[in-house]
Amino acid sequence: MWPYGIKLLWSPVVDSLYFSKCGRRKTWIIPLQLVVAAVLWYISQHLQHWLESYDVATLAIWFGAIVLLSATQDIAVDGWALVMLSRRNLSHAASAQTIGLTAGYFVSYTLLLAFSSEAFGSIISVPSYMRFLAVCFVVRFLSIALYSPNLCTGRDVDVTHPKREA
Amino acid sequence: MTSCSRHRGRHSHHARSAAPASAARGVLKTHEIAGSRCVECMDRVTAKKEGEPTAERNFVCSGLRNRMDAACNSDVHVLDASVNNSSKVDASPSPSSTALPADDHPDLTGERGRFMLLVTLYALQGSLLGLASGTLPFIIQACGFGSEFLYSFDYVAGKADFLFSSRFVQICNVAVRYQVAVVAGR
Repeated sequence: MWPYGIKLLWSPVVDSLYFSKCGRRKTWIIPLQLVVAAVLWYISQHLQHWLESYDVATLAIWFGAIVLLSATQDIAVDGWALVMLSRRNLSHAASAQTIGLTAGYFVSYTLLLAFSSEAFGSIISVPSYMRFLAVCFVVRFLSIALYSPNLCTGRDVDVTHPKREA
Repeated sequence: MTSCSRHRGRHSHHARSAAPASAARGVLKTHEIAGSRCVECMDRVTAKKEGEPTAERNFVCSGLRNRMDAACNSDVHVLDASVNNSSKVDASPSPSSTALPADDHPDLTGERGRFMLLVTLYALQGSLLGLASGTLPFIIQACGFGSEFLYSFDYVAGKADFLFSSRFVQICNVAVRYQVAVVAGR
């Protein structure tokens, strides 16, 4: 959770640097989702080995990287939420964040608790769940990149020039 | 003669609705206009009339009609005869109507897809957080650390997380991001 607390250190970079063809937010969201999916898939392949060899440093680094990437994506998504919704529905952006984060956290955390059960652990393992998450990220990436072109630059307003769209 | 009980003698707001005059297309029979509504004040025509020339669609009440007749001696615009139905109201509400203002309570109309997109994005982030948080105890125990260390670690991490997630830090985050964006835009 620490990357979420210190993300203010690089959040100005995320807000400022972007490709105009892609949009201020999607410039970061799309590649981040691909990277997260790749990292999840890689961890799922080596997790069992790292646990058996008690390689704490490697585990900490990779899981820290996941949270770091998630925090960076959170910066972009928070900014996107402000311009995606109309002014009258801006209050729902906070609702979306609360609902989404709580639901996702609940699913992952509770599922991991269930893994402590031998019966449940024999059906689904942590690596298989991580591969499932990687697929979810890829699906979300495809839906944003391919099926939501209007969200790219339609409402992405340059904060320095409110009348100019990024 | 038709009557418009609400706006008798007061029709300044109707001036802009005076459409170009058109040739009369025929005489409207009495039963065809009974029950029709004035498009400006939405009052129903209470009386029947005969010999009223038909032209366009909009039906005006007698006060305006008199003024139009005096001004240009043009044809009176009348309601479409097909609107002679109590369940059907012609034309759009006029500013002079007593219709309630539109409810501006946010209802995500037309933006439900975008709202769900945000929810799924945050859900994926939350799943990563849950994965990292939920896996950590297993990792620590797998590495041979006992429950006491786990509890101490959780206590310290929780306090540190509270510190970094404080409202002050969040406000600073927003302020710094905005300032840098302003500088970057120059």
